[in-house]
Amino acid sequence: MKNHFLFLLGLSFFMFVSCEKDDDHHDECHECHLEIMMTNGTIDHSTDIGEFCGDDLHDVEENGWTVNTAFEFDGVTYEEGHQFTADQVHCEEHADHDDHDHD
Amino acid sequence: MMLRVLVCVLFLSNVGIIFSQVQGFVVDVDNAPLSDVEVFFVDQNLVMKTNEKGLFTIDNNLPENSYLELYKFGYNSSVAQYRSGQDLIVVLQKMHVELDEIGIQENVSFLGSYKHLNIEKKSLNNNFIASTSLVENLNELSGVNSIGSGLGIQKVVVRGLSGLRVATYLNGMRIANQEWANDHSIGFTDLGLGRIELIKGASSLKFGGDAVGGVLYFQDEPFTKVNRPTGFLASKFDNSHFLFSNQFGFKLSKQNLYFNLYGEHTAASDYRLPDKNYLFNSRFQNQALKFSFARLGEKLQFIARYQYNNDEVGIPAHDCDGLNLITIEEITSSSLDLSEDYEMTRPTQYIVNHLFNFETKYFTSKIKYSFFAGYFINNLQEFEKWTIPAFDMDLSTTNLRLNLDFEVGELSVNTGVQYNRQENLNNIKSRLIPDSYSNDMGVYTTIDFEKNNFGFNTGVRLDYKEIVCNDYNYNELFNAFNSSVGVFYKKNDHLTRLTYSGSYRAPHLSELFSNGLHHGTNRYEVCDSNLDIEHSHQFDFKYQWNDEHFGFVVNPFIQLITDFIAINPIDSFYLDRYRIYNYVQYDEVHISGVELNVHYHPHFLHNLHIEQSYSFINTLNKANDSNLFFTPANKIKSKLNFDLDIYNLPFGLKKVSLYHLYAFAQNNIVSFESASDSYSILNAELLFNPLINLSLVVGVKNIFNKEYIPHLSRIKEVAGGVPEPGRSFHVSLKYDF
Repeated sequence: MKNHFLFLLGLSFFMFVSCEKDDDHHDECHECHLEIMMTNGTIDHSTDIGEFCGDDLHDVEENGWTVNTAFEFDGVTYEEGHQFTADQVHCEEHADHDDHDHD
Repeated sequence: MMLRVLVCVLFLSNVGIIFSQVQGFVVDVDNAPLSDVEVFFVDQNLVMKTNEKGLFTIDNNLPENSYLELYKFGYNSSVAQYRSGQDLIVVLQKMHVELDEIGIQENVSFLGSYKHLNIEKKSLNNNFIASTSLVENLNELSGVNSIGSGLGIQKVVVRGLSGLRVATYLNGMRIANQEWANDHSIGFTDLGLGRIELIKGASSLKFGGDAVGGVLYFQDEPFTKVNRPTGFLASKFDNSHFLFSNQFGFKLSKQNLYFNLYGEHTAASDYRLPDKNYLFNSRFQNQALKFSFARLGEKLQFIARYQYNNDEVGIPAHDCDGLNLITIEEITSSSLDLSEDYEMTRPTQYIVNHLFNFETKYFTSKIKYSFFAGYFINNLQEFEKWTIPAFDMDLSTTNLRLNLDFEVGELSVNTGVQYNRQENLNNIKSRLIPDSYSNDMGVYTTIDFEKNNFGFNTGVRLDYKEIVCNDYNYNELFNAFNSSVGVFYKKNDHLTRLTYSGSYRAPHLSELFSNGLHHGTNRYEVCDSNLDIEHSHQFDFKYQWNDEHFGFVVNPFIQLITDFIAINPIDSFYLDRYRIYNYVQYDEVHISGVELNVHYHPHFLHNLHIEQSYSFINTLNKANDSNLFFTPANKIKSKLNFDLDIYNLPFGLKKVSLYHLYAFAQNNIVSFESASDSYSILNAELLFNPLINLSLVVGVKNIFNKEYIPHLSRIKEVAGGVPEPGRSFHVSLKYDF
């Protein structure tokens, strides 16, 4: 009986410790892009702004992104210092629809 | 044979006197002892089996008038009542047709008298190895559907109603886990569960308001009286999600003390569609731990339970633009990378539930007192960004209930008082529902009568509910009076039952105060703080006939709901991309339908069982003569079980099961809701017992790799509709020790 109990206690400890959730995403790095409203009313997500890690990732998700080098998109020039809001910055991952199958 | 019974009776009498034990004897109609009959002591929540002589023994005396439920596969279950000084001899009849209905299967229900109310029961023993998920198992019942996307997010729909209208209880505790939204799942797994009882339709008397659509009452496995520790280890793999799941259970008992411990870990990746692509972010993980401790004395008993459940659930088919204009290629992957695709990405829900409850019962010769106290806390975080939650809420629920059972002449009376407090607290500034709380106090009484194949039940309930939200200076008091009446009559093989039940639901915090973007559902939700209480009245008729080989049930119903609270899409968008959904209140809504159940079992093949259920439902909003949003499609569910135990086949093959589902097309829709096509799917399963105490289940789901989109899929409107998983194989193993 004692052995059974100790075995199961050990098993439960293993299950929960080994699967501990990594809540702290501040050490992670993710590619981010801008959401830009086009002149025809559609929304574009093709403007990448690079990879952000740790506190930088948190900062860009919380405060948005400031243009550091002017760029033109859809006929609009976004000057250096232009501020994109946090809602306009996306760092979530998307599905990867490549051509190889792992089936 | 009679001599054998007499010897046993004499033996029982003597042993009972000498050792203060309670013993019983179970026989068939020929007075032959029946072994391995499950004897469930209902009030004690304790189960044991008869030995090879048909005997069972419990050390301590049972309280007077305690109920025992006796069950053996292939036999008619029976309920016996213990009375001191009388011998407990129970006769079980052979029964090949199992409809779980009045008169056929006698049983005891936690929810009330099963003879008068529309209570269905389903065993959840071995659900872990026999079914891919808890909700998928419930889906096999007639009139039950689910809203979801893959195995990660699933919630139960009863006769077209779900969410706040289907009250879920776990071991007597109300589970409140922000169930108002379609992306918030049931909140626990099948870990350690023994059975579910389901009331379809309005039922408020014993379990308070909100149960306009029904009640789901989950009960843990009973404690086991054993001479040595017992338990199990079980594992499951399902290749639709590349799901790996492990469970363990452990039971101890000594004298009057009992202890159960269970644990689970599940990891699942993205599910595979019929076209062999994978729905990105349909992955999920779960960890659960629960234990219970009991002292089951003769007059006084208590049970204490704790349960922890942690879910990490990806929200698939996410559309950054919110307009549902994306293509399916943008939300699916052509391959899985198993080193990465179990990890959570965004958007994701993190849900942590803690459940504590304590129940105690005290028995006197006339009255059974029971007291229940429970505390449930649910933390829900939804992340669309990596480092900042969109919202982070704690919803705590406290339940207190005092209940008395006693008899007055030939009437059984159940009366009680119930208190429920719910508090919603935001942990961050960004929020969908403000900080708020509610207090609900109710008193109820039900009366049952049964004599000479006739019975009736009646009951009343009075509730006061206060809802307070200081942010909106909102402080409202709602009160409601409910009643129910049920009668049944049995003549020969014919059974009829007619039930009226009333229910109410006060508006929920989410309906009164939500105002913002809900990323999980891609909705911008706009509340209405002027919403009033909704009332429901259901009439439910059941006729049943059966003989030894064939049985059927016809169950028409109609439910009238006044001041029905609904959430409706409108032709406006927030930030030009998230459709706005308004909470509205309709004057009158009708939900009607019929459920049919057929069970056939050929005389020449007693171990073959064919069951079929038909459920047809129609909804009507009287205000505009339209249907209700998310009306389930009509369905035919067929099940074939072929028990091979008697053939002694290789590898210990014991059973073959086939399950077929045909869903009709659903064209009864509202504005901005799409219709859905008909479909049929076929699943198959084999059960083996290759070694003693070892069970192996091998199965395949969606055998023909059918591409189908259920009408209640929560991602039906995205990318023209995202199909459910394609053909998948699963294998489960369980070792009992």
